[in-house]
Amino acid sequence: MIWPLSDDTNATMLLCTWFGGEEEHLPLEIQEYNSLVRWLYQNDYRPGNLIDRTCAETAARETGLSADRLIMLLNRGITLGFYLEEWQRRDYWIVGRGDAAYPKQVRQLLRSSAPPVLFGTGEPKLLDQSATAVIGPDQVMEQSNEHARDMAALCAQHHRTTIAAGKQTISAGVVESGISSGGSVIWVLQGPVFGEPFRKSFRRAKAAGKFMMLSGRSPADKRPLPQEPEVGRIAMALCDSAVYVDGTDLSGDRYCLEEAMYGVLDQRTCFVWCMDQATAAAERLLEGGANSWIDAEMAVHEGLFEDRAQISVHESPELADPEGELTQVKSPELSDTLGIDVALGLGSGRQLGLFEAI
Amino acid sequence: MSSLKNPDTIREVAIGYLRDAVNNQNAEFRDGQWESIEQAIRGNRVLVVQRTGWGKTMVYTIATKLRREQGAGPSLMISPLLALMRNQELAAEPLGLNARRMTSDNFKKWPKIYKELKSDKVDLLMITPEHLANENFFLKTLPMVKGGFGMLIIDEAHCISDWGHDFRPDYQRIRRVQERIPEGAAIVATTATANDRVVEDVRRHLGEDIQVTRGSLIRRSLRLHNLKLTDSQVRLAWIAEVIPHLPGSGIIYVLTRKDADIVAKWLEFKGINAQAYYGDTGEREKLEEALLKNELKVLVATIALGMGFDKPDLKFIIHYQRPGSVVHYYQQVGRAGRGIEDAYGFLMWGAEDEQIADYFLDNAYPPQKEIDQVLDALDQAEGGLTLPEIMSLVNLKKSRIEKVLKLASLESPAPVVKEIGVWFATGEVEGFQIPPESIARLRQIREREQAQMRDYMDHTGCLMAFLQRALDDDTAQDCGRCRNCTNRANKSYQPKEELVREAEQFIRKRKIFIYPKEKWPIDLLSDHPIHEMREIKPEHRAEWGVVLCSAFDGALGDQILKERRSEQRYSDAVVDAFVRRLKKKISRFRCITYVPPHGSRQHVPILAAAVAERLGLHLVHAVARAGKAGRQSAQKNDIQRARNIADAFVIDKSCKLRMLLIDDLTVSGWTLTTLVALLRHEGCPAVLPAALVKRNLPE
Repeated sequence: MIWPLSDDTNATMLLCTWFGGEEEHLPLEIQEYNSLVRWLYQNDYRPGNLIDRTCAETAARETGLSADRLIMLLNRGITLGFYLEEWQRRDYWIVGRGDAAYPKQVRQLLRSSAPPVLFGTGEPKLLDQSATAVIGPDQVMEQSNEHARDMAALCAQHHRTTIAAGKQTISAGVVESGISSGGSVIWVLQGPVFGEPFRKSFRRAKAAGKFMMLSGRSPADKRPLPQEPEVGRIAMALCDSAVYVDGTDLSGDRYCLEEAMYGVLDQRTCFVWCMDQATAAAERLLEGGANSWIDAEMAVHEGLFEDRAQISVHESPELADPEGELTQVKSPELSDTLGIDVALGLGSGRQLGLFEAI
Repeated sequence: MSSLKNPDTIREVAIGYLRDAVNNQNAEFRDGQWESIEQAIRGNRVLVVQRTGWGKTMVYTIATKLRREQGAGPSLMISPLLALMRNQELAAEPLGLNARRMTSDNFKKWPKIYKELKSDKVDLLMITPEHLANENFFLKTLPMVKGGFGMLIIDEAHCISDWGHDFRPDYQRIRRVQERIPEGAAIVATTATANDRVVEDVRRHLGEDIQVTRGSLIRRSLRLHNLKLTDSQVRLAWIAEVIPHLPGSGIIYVLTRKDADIVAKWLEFKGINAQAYYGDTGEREKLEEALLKNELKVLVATIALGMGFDKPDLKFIIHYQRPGSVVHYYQQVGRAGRGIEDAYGFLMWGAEDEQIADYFLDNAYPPQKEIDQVLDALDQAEGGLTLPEIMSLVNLKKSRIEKVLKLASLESPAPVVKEIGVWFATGEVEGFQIPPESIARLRQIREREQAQMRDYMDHTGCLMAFLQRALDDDTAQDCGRCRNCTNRANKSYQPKEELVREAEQFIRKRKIFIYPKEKWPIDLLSDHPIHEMREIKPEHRAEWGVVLCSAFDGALGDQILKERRSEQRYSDAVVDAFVRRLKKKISRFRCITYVPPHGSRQHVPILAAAVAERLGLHLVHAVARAGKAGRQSAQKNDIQRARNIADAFVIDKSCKLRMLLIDDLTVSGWTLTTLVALLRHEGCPAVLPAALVKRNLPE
């Protein structure tokens, strides 16, 4: 997977990756990147063509981006070389939205908000395995944490990959429990993949092909973490079923994981585990169609460990590309390379999820 | 800036810069110089293989200047040569370039350089390959450069090749870095010493479309001489005899720090203005400057005085021992005569050369057993370990542990990584080994190089042509200036016999000291109050100690070690020499004690008694073994050694008088340091440690 990077992913990284310290010419926001890719697609270019200065200047002019900014970002090739070497040495891998190895589920579910580049470490094959996400709010009562850990152990027992999302207490417990139970774990992180893989239990699991970490942020990106739903949505994209472990968030922060689950209630088998009294978040999920967790036997019976059906991209209109209008259909090969799945029908992207990635 | 879009105009501007830089308004580019600059400013990749003094620096400084004017970011130069960097800082000035270096010897300036980088005031940043392993490079340096570096300059680019004569592990990283740099980023790689095979290998790594500029390697100003003088005292005598007759100043290259000290002190003793220069010498910069200003006649240096040292009027280079390879020799001797008509290169070799060469050959890679020991310790750790923690767990010499960590951390993916001073094992740690084929290949290269070096020393034809041919320079012809070309091969160069004897005496009488240690290697070595703090309390410290001689000195040191192994006691000759050495130092001391032996050996108590008798001191049996220590000689690093004897002794009889503490062999100095601290803790007002022989920690 991934090494050496394709020209397209190289260009995407130059445009979008934070190496830390950027102040003047900031890496592109995802919307900016999407508009750039759309222009490239419409003009039979690929991101790799932006290395040519003329192409970059034209693209900037046509998309309303600052040419100076684009050129400055693209000029970071030497810096990129150093970071790529450093990350590869640390056994991180990188996959661009245009790469075949980019998890298709993420591209399909997140569409225009799918991270242009994913950074990971550990066994990428875990992405192809049946998985159950175990999520919950930050800093909950010990009873909730205990249940989350039990869930991870249950997944391991059923040879099911567990997915944890974010750095909440619940997630840490899920990861530890999944690994110590001999199961496989994918940990989707909002912040950079950094440091954690070197803990003894993690690196042993990683070496055994049972642990993977994934993030949309580069290991060098030290910006403060915003409250973004991305991490939850990636977790939801990668899983076949999900369990929301309820509990009052003692930290006072509201994290967006339940929102991510809410968005896939009709596409995943979802459960909500509550203590005596459900929180508002849990109530909402239950009202939206999530199953109430009675016990493990019942959950298994109700499809906790069944694989999901293929996602129908037409069934989630709120996730469709908010801007895209495509007037010309290109070859599927090119669109794949760019990270664009072309709907075969013509018309409004808004209606058809025309772009799944831009 | 707009005028720089026209290639003709750019060339004119570039020539102007060249003329400013060399302060000669008629200067023109040499063959290949402009072509290389042009490729660089177009964002292409260039490999420049040209002799020292050809003007490789001009290529990347002028290219940097022009690229900066076109709005590109600063250039980043990676060079192993600290001296080159120091020269570059000055050389960049006429071009109006702001060159800065970030090296281990100027870390206090780094915060200022970060600020300058951030405000885009640095045009050329220079770092060593080892700096890439410094976390600050990724956390601070790279992020500070707005828009990224505009050009990458790889100095000594032959190190990129596995077939290069220099084995610099960190260049593996540079090789991978440049392979990952996308097209469109300018890379200038330079070397003065690459044969066909290396050039092809570097080209393969840098990209087949790279432009290669390659020229003749002949150094016309050099007069090369090979002198077969195997004994160290003869070589010392020769240099003392010849140097006063040589015009100007020069460098004597030696292979070890110890030799640097001996040779420099000998020359000083003979009234020649000389200084030693090596990695740990303080004020390296000042020494370089003194040589540049001809305030020194000779700098006696290890290869720490690297290839980048640029003194155009350097008159002579003397090799006290033979370098590792012909290419190293070419590089080092090439320091002389860069800007003058006549310069001399004298190559001597000694009986010890083969042994030193074999040592470097055998130690290029650590054995698998050592790799396993270090990596196992890390693998067993829940989190990570600091270097002292590893040293405390693994009984290996510090430098061996560091070598394992260095080599392992350079693999990709690496079995170990370092984060904020802490080493961690990764998922790659299990079963890690350095590929045996890499080890075999390096050994093969080294053996071939040594054989070629021996061929060179025995060569009867033109010496310069031999060097050129070794580097696949097909322009090689007889120089007409070397010892062989000028028919001096049979002329005697033996120094005067009395000077040889004087040199021999000098080696024998060289003064060696035991430096008082100020800190224990780790906290809380034992429960004893002397180990209460990491710092050794001033009232527990030793006086500056005295050593009779160093081990393996080819003289008394060898004799003492032999007697230690095979005799029951030291001979009168040894005791006499020791007493003579001590006499001048002991006027303030009233009694004498000794390090109690491990087992039944009585060498030291007998020696102490004999010394006490001859010096008229009172012998005190002050110290006894507590029976806890293993053999100190089995402990390989400072921490293991200090810990091994931390509880090993007790004070049997306290003494309130100033005391001499005797041992026969001192290695790390921890036994003496511990005993001094114990004696002083019990009330002894001052303790002077003294030993017959000082030896380095065994490998």
